[in-house]
Amino acid sequence: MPISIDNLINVNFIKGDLDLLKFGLMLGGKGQHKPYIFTPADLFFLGEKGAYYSPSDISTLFQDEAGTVPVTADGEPVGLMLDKSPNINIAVIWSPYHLFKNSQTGAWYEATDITTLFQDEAGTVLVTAEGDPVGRNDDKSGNGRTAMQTISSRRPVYNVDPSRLLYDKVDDALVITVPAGGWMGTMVLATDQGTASYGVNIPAGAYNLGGIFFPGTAIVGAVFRDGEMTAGEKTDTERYFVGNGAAASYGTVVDFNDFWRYRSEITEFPLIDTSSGTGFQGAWRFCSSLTSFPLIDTSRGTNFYTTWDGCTSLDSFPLIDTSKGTDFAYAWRHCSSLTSFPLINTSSGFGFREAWRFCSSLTSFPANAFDTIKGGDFTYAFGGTALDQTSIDGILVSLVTSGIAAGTRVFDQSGGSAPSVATGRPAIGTLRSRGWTVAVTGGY
Amino acid sequence: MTTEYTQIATIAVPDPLIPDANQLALCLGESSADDQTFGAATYQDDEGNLYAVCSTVAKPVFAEKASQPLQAPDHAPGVDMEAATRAQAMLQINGGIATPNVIAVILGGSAERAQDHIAVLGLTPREIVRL
Repeated sequence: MPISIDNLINVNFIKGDLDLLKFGLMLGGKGQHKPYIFTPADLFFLGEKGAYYSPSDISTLFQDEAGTVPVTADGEPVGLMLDKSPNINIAVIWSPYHLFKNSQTGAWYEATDITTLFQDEAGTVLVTAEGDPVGRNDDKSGNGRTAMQTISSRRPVYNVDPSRLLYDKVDDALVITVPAGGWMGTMVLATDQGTASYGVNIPAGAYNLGGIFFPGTAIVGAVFRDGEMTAGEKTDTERYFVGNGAAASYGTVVDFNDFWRYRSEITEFPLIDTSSGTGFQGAWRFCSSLTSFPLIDTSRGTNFYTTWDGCTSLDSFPLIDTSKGTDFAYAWRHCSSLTSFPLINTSSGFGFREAWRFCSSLTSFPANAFDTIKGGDFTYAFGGTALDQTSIDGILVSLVTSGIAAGTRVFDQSGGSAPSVATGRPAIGTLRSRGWTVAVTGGY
Repeated sequence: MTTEYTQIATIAVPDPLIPDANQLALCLGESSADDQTFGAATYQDDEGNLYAVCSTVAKPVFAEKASQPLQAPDHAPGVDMEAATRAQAMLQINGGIATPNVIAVILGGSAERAQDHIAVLGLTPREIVRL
């Protein structure tokens, strides 16, 4: 018998309805058969375990986990998807909707959902094309906290592929009106540079999402939840936004300059991946509500100019890797809650101008901190501190050990204890003999 | 769909000209809040002169409107036309660095970056300048 496609089809079809090897749409052939349309449900015909979900079947989709609110239109959240196999599984689809399902307050913005974007604050002109300005981004949390920008030039711009809002980092920002009582909880910020969850305390009133200092140049999504989110909720929210196109971590960012500057609302900073970062200038400057700081990877960091300046609530600081740091000017200035400081690696450091100035609670500083530095600019470095005698003696002895005898050689201390007669003063004498200008508490 | 906003304009306004420039922004802009376009003068040139800077997407008609006799827009019938006209006379489009006697505008395609425009204007954020 000659082999033909008709013959092959006939062979299969006459095996009947129970045949698991079935062909596609309405194939025909010679002989007895019933045309058969394959569906994945057939994969479970003999009682196989598993599940079959079909998002194109809207009858299986519900907005809520309990399955009481059906999905009926584009843009509605999907909280539950029914299994179409005989096994009756359900799939709970996670989205930030779950963070607000019990009437929690906060806001959820999703730049990837164009149905929530308008060119004007009144919501009369749709965003439809790449390059359109965005004057309004509706809140998907159910709390009605619409983010708006009434000033034309400050509106971010919609980008189609990948879907996100582009910020010029000059003046672009959407303004959220935080309700009375403020939000004390968690912010998840998903940008083109990275995605992270922060502890925040945002007072009532206008809050700018964007601005000149921002950890990224585009926003994919953002969630604010009054009441701290669990670790699982943070992870799920971050994954959700990453699934929508946000960068998963900050691991490829080289320049963190000014990323979180002036973010006084941040109370807790996450352990993000900063392993590629070389520039940290002003990165956390004026983050005045941070009480602690994580042990981030700064092993490639060279520029720490003003990095933690104005972090007035920091009462501890971790032993981060600063071995490649050259510029520490103003790095911890105004960290007025620090009482001690770790023995960081300053072996590449040239500049320490005002580095710890106005750390008014700083009493304890490690010895040997500057043994191998490369430059001697300590102008006002320890002005306005509260160093005990052991610490100021140790600093001066360490500067002697460094052997710096050329270039800028200035050291200033004020506040706290005067150097000791036995240790500190001889060290000052040695430094002056090497060309240093030294001013210390007590006026020696 | 294609956007009408195919250009980007970055504008540097010398500190003393900010009130007039905001009336011009109200006249050429699209919102009744555009009289707040230029806020604090947070940028400076090499000589320490201060400027307020904004960057915005713009329609191609922007340059044409900016050079024609001004008309009060529907969204701002009460705009101060005298102030707006004074500011209009100070406009210098794609003329290079910002100076205290002009309102310097860098106008380019929407793919251009505001930060690059600011560099062309010769300005730096005032707060980032070394203390």
